[in-house]
Amino acid sequence: MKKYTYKNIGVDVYKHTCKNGLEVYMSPNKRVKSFYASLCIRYGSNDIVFKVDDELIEVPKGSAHFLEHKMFEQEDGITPFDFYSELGVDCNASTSYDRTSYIFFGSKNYTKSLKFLLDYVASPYFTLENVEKEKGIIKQEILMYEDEPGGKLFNRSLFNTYSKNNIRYLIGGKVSDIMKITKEDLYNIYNAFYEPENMYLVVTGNFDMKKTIEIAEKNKFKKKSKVSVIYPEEKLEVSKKYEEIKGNIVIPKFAINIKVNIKDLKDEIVEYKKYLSFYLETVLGPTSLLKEKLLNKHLITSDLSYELIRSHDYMSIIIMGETEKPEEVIKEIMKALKKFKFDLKEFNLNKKTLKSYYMDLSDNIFSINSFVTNQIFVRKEIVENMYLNVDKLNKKEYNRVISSVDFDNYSVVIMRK
Amino acid sequence: MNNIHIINDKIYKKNIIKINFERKANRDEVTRLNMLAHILLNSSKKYETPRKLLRETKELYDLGMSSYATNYGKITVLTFRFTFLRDEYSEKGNSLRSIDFIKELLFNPNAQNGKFNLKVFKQARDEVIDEIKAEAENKGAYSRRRMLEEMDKESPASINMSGDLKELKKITAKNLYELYLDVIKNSVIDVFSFGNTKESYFAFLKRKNQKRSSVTYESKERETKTVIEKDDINQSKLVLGFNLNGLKKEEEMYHLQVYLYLLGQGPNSKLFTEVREKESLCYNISASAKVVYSLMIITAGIDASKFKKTVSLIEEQVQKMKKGDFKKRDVDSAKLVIKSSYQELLEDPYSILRTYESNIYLGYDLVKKRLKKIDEVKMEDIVEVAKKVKLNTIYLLEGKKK
Repeated sequence: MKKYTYKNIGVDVYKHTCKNGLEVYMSPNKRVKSFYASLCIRYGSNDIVFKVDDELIEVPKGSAHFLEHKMFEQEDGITPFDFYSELGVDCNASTSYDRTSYIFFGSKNYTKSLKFLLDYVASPYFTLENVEKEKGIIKQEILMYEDEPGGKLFNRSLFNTYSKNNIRYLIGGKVSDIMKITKEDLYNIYNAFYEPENMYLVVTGNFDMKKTIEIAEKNKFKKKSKVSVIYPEEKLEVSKKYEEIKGNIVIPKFAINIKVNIKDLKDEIVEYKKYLSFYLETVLGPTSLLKEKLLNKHLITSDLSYELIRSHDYMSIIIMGETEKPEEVIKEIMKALKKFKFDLKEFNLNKKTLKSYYMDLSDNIFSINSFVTNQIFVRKEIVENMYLNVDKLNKKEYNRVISSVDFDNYSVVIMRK
Repeated sequence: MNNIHIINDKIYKKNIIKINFERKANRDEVTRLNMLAHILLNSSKKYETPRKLLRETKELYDLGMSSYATNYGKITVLTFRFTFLRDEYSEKGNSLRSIDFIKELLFNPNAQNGKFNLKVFKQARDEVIDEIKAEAENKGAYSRRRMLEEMDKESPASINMSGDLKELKKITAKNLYELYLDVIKNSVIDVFSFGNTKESYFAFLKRKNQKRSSVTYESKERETKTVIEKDDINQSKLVLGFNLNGLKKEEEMYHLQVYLYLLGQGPNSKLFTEVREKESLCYNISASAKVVYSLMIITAGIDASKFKKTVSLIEEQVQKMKKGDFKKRDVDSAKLVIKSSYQELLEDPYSILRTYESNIYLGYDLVKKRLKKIDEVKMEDIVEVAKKVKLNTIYLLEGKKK
């Protein structure tokens, strides 16, 4: 077992690697009574075509999410819902573009809960009947998301920015996609990706580390043959520069999606993203001159939002907002983004905010769990010095990163009533 | 009774301060209160523009702030909430500087000659207009509120806390400032501070001999009414409103919690297993209660063509509860989950503050007592609560049939 410490914020993380390759990260916090565990599988909605040995397999879109639902089906009829509610423990699962997570949290019956988590995710039970039954439930889930204007705009923006990259498709798929899913598709995915070296467990809160390792060592996941995911080649240009769509809304909304090639970045992606976030905060954030200008012209009333989303060789900078005059606001945003000027005061305020964010992490077993999960997903290791690294962020690198971005390579979607 | 509630804590790194101004719930005042919530956090005499003010929050290690009005039955509470890092995790003096900042925002507003600065007034108005408009985009919230209106127009539960556009037109920089003065002077004030602070920090908010009014509101029971509205949406929103009159404190706090869990909160609940898992009629379905308005709500997202089938299945489950058709082991696991959720309350500062608020406003027990009391709930208690549940309104926001 190896111990890591996040310097300055007082959080320890212990790593244990099981004999069959399953990694376990534990961050105990004895000041609280509850625990939170998440099992993360490196498989998400983007992974549609893959090769197992020499066989090429393609599954319908939305399969990753469908499988997550169906993982809850068990041969003896005792679902995780049944099992955990009897123990007084909460459980859930979620799927994103690049991963699937199975979680539980509570304050009693930790060892039973952990054992069950590793058991049920290791025992798929997909039948013709239970796959068909799930389609009605997932259809309602998809329809619910289709009624969310913000989500719809966001998805459309990704669809228009990319030509081939699977991030352009909905995580849950369309209703017509999920109707095609069969139990064979689910087993194909399961057999390829649900294997010990392609997943890791993160536990935070109050729990017994020794028992955790004991139970984890007994996991029944089996090593599989070599799998590689095949991602389609994506060109640098956006697929569609401009589109107007209709939505059941009152105030028009817009999304700008700036497409950046990050193929050559390795570990430095972390700093790269920090510099970009600093820049976006400075140019568009609540304390920006742009926000003040737009407020004074009565063009916006709420903050502009921004988000960075990575998918293989590309990253999207997605900026969204609400306004009666989207064209004018978009023009102002693009003008501001291209007029880069270093502002030391803002730079230091951004550092202060980032430090405050790190400091806050340790107070909450959920935040620290998802933080560790993310860090392992991206970096595959614990970065002990992240707090101290904030002070290493510097003007020279900042300038280099920002000037490397082509702010003309973007796609716009406007949603009107 | 002291109105400064200090909850000492040594574990968390942040202080959380809630400053509550309580007024009688009044439909005509809500829009103005909401505007006040916006305007006071946008600027002050010292920080004249939102930009200056927000830069100061970053100087204070990203001090967080929010404000909102909520209804607690027959009273409306205007809350200002602030969070900031304690000195030992930021720098010496950060806490006191933050409190000075809070004082500046609440007691030195950007106003002169008896009215708010016109520029910040207009900005706050723009914000509220958009907030009111945006509600129509949230179909879940919209359909819940519409059901509540159909159930009882008089109930404070049906007040839209963002306000309404007609009322907004009547607001001026002058009458809003008058309301501000009235709120500061005549509201019941409570301060809840979690973390490492002292009562003396809040001397400027200290009040004596404040009178509290009762909060619980009850709607009349009646024959069930069905209302269907159409909208251009894919998934229809079904909302059922039930009366829940005459609950005793024990019933409200404990018996009802177990009842709700069995009926429609747990993944093993009647609604989840019968309506979602067995019939695949929906993805979401749940039951919740608003005890200060003596009502229970069941919501589900469904396909419009399944409306009748879903409603009758739901009614069937509610009937089963009245007949005591549930198992002892389900009750036991419900208690376990509820206790575990109480335990979680103790580990989240925001929840801890809320338990103190409901202790003050509703006379609810604090968590330690709750943990004991929930174990005492008997099968018969749950059936007693079930019998008080009366269906009042069925509301459907009907979308496309698929």
